[in-house]
Amino acid sequence: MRIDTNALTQWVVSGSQASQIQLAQLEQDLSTGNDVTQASDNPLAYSQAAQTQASLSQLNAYSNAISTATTATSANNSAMTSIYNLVSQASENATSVASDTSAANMQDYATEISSLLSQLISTANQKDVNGNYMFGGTNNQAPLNSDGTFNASANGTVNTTSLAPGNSVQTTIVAGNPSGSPATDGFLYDSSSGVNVITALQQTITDLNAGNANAVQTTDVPALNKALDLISSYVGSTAASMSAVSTAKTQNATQVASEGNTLNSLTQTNVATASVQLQQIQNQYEATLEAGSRILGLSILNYLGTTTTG
Amino acid sequence: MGVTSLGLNGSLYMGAQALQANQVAIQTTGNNISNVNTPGYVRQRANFATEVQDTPTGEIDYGTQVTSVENLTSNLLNTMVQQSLGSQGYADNQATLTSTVQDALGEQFTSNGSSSTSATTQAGEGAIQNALTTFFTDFQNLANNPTSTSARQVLVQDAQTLATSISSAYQRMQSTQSQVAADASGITTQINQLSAKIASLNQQIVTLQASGTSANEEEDARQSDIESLSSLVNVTTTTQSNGMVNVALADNSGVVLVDGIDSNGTGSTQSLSATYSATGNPPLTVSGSTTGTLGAGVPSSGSLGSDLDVANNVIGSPAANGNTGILGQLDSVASALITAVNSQNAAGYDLSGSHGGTFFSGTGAASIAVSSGVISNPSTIAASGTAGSTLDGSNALAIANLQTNNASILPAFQTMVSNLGATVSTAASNATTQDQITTQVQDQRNAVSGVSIDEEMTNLINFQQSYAASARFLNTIASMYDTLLNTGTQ
Repeated sequence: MRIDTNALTQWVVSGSQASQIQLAQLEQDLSTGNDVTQASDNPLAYSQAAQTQASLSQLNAYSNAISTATTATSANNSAMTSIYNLVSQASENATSVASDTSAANMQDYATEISSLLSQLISTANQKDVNGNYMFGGTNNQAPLNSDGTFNASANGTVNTTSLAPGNSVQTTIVAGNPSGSPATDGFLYDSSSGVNVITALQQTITDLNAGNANAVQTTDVPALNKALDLISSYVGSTAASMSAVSTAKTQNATQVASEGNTLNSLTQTNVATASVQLQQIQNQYEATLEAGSRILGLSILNYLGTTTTG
Repeated sequence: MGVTSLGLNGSLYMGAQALQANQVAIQTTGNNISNVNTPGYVRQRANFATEVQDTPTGEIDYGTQVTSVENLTSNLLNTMVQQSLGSQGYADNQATLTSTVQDALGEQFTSNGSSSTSATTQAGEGAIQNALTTFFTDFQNLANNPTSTSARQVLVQDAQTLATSISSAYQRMQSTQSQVAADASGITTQINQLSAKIASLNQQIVTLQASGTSANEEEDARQSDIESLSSLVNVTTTTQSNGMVNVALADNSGVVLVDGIDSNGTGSTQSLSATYSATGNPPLTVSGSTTGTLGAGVPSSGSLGSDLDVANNVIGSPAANGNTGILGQLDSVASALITAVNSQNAAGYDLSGSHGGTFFSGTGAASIAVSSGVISNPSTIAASGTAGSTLDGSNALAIANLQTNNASILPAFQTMVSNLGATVSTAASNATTQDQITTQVQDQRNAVSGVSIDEEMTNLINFQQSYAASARFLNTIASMYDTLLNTGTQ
């Protein structure tokens, strides 16, 4: 094949240009850390990365929900444990009343249980970090009035929080409201078993103040024990919720890490591979320039000059 | 057998002819050397032939003469270069334009520099993918906090961002389509100008040849113009017996661009024009001045063919006008989003316990917006699946789940972006391949037509030596004349 003068120039230019394009791409990949920044870089990887990114977005939302649920279920369980201890203490006081207990002692018990009831009311009416009543339902109402009666405005709606697709947990509990319309069940009132924790405590106080040891023994103590059973079930359910949230948190963290790694592997530059390629292309580029510098300077003109001079 | 003598006069004539022939050869060589870097230049060669005259006593050789100065070219290779340039014009333009379309869509990943164990890559700001996932995530958050005012306000803001992202991308696509159409219009103008130049060169070539003058440079210029034309639109050329070249569209031979000295509507020729209508289907068409609108996808090659493909197929038409390409797919995604969210929102209950209303207004990508009622009163977002005192977040969760449950929204959008990426990637790859093919064909032609300095310098020395020898020959004959003329005087 006959070679014209410009062919050599063209080959050197196109060869060096091809190397420079590859070098520029590799340098960009290494400097940005991403070798897939838009779909055309790798359509399949982009598609998978876009799906992974959407999945990660969902997982991050679940992660935020889990964080909130952790706080809520922990606070619920703490409150239930506290109320259980208060009622348990009241029950112990009531149980210690015997037929020979003096009226003065019974009044002392009544005073102590009244104090416990006040603490229970305070606990049941506590607010969360956002200033909302924790156990008053979605209407943000205190479940109990200051005199211990149920607040008719509190409702029984509870929130559930999605921790993962198909995995929800109850993150709010309510005190219950026998005077609501309709009446709602909760940790202080249960219509099916007929338990009313507030009434049980108030009746015990009344009977103690009246010195009615028999009523305390035969009616109030069993009522208080039933109340303990009711609250105990809430202690258990809130503990179960905490456990479920904790498990979901672990699973969520594992999934986030896994999806994150998948996304990184799809879009991020493999530094080792890219560095090797960079070296290879650099060698290729240098070889092209070296060959060009040797060939392009050669021509018969170099030798004609020598011959003429000689 | 006797030898016919030329005599001294004949020898002088022969020497003079040799001088003249070598001078022409040296001039031709000089012309080749000086045009070594001239694009489209075809090297020339002075063709020598023995000058023979018949006499009654037989043939007499009068030395040499230059019978012609020939362009060393190959019609086959010229045609191959033309076709290759048409494909390259298409491929290069396609690579540039599809990349522009992808940039206009604005979907890209950026690194946030976090540690390798967490998600370090996210969609670019303002991107639709990012806005869609944020929108659905907001509904997920609202599902967990159905009475939260702040969650509703955040949702409304992000929904507005999503609507703006979609409608802005749609406008950018239409703007890009309009720019492609303007490019197509410019190309048709160039085609008409090149047609006029080729017709003019046809006239010059015939005139020069009729006067016995070489038209090599004009033929080079015409070939160069034909190749420029080929990169804009695929054409076929036919060389007439008188040396003129006719040019017609390859996709429609009835559209003649050059017929001898005619072009741009004179004689049987036509000029081309491009017409763009954003609401048309297809939006961009090419017409011949007498044929009218050419068929769909005609022309199919060259830069103009690429403009047509990108405007009509890659960007395409909105739902109302054909629903093709990015515009149509964006419309479909927006329409599915509007329908699904509005339907689910209407099935739920807002904070007051009433059924939800319209969340998104509009019918497609161009008109999507958050309804004014939702903007002014976020409590009307129907997060709850039950009415009355038992408000919950189940309906908000149902809307959040549209992200994965409705294939016509996010998955469809991801497929659209991925397919566009494949189109861009393929176009870039095709451009590289076609560039290599064109280079190879051009190298083959340059092997015939290109100038080699080494070769020309060697020829120059050869002709220079011949010229010197001829001069010496003339000198010898002159000396013989002197000897002969001085014989009687001595």
